[in-house]
Amino acid sequence: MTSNPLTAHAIDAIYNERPIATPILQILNTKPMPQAQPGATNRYRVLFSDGINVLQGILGTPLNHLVESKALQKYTIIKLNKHHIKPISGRKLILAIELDVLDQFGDVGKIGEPLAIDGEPAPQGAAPVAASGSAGRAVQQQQQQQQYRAPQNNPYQQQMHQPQQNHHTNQTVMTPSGAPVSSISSLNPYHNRWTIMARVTQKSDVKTWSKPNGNEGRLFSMTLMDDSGEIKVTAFNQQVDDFFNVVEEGKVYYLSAAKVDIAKKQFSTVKNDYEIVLQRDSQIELAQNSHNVPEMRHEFVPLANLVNHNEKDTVDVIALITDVGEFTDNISQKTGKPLLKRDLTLIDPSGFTTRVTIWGNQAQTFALPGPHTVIALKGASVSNYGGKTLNAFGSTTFKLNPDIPEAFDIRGWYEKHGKDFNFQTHSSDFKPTAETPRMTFDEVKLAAANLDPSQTLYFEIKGTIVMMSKSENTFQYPACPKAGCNKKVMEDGNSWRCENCNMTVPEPEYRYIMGVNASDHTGQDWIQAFNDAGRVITGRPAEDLVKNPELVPITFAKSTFKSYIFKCRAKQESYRDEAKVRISIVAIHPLDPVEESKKLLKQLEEYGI
Amino acid sequence: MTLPTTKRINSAMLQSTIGETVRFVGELKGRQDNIATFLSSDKGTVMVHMSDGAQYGTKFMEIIGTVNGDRSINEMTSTNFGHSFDLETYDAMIVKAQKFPSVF
Repeated sequence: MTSNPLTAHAIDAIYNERPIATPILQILNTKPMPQAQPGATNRYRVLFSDGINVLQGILGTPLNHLVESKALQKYTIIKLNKHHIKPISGRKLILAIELDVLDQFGDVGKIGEPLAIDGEPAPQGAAPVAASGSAGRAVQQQQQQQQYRAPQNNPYQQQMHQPQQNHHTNQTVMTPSGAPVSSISSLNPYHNRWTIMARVTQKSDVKTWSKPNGNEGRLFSMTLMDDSGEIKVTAFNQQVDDFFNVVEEGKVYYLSAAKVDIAKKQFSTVKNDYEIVLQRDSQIELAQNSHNVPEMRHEFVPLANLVNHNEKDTVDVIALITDVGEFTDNISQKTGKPLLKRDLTLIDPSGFTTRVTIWGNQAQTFALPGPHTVIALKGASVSNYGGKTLNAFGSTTFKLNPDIPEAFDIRGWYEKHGKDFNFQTHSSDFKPTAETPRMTFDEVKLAAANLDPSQTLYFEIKGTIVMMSKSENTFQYPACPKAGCNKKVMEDGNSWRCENCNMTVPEPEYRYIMGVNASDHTGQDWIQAFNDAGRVITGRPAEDLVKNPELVPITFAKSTFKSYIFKCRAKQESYRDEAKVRISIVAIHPLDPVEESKKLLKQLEEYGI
Repeated sequence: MTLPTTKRINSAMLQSTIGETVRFVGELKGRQDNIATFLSSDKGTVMVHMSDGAQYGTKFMEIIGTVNGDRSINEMTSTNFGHSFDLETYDAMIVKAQKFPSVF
């Protein structure tokens, strides 16, 4: 044996992930990995030794030529310039990225009697696997376990049955890079031997869930994307510990040996019929060479076009933040859980402004990195609350000042024009451009009967008021006059008290809330009119009628038999355990006969008449 | 008492309704003695021989009368149609009405 050039205890340092600069190591063995399919890139397994310990490793594919040209073979001394440590199936492997062959040492034999650092018997030993003794049995057991764990890796398992020196490292052949890569769109539950190479476009925080039956646990989810599509990946409990810290948003990974399931659409906005659940033996490995996997894809929607989206649609938006609201943590009345949220005000070059609400921890810690911050939201959910607003739920990701051309365009636009621009909002008012279907009362009845409890039906109807509120007293309520409150106030001596605003006012604002019965040629229904609609119908504020009750009968009489275009919302509500569809007026417009005639003529033309 | 069916017409239809009782809506453009000039819904000019004591109170009028050989109308009665009336839409309506005489 020549003098020992090896860096003593280097393996120990690598294994325990202590920093170590360019250790000198000896290669004790190299071995091509079995390939799942012919034609895939070769990968080589390597056994590294520092004379004291050995550790299995994988050679990065750019180094393959070293083995193929026999520059790297048994007992070669190398300098390991760059490596990663990879946990795979609970064991650590060296992924050699860059190394130099030190041929100045000439032909050397095996240096020292190194032992496996991870407690495994040194595979270099000549003892065959089937050897009796505890080590052999341990190996055997492990082999069985391995089979049990990874039944889907059959081609590899074939290999395992053969007695070979390094058999217990066969798990490394599951390293996805050795196998052909499947596209996300080709995944299905009937096919379980696959490896995908995909970018993490979104990664959630670790969430805990608890069910009334005491069942609880933790999970995190992420969205993976390749050029064929997207898929949601979820990890539960143990897999949260295994993988949460492995995965970073924006990076590309190989993923294999996970379960493909039918997507639970109620928890997901990802456009895929399937989703992936990580298993005990699932493998995720960072892909070095990721240029063929697309960057995050955004299909940005201008804020002006939000009006064309329905509630709960998900959209990508890029906009400039003009205002960051206060962080609030109210307790939800429904669930009793705290609702952490914060509103951001957005503008974009389409000339519209809207609000996006961010929730949870993100809301709490949100801070602007500087003035004129651009935000890119992916998968924001459209809400009809207060016009058209956005929600950033768990599956929404956002980036501040992303490094994409659209972001620079927006900032440029803002600096040029944005400051003195008068932005429009998506109000909840009637918009002639909004595509609301015109329906008859008969059609509404039919559609409402098929309405899902969570759905809201929007429609427009041409009708004539045939009956006003049945009661002459309960068509209005005293409301808080503070802008945006409108909550009912209680009389308190000579003044009125608003519980919501926690203040007392001398005079309430009376607001309409009444049922009117409207009819068309197909049927009639009670529809609810709020203050704005009530004013249009009666032609006077509710206060007039409260102060002059003698005007009520004549006003109501005058209000009947007038025709309007009602824009309405129908929603199922339960009243005394009975599901009932309630129709409310969103906007009301007196019928314009000329406009209406033109509409009818156009319809006739569409019928070819 | 049954009133005769009165076809709604524009100026182009006068030729085919000579001798018939018709219903015409137009915009009053002027009058000389007892002859009033109207702009019809198809942008033609129609002369109306006003009945005795006829009073045209608004910009738009509806005239019921018989069509003379010279395509003028002898007024029987008239109705004020207000100051705002969409003649174009009305014209579209009477063209359609001609196609479906059974409905009108």
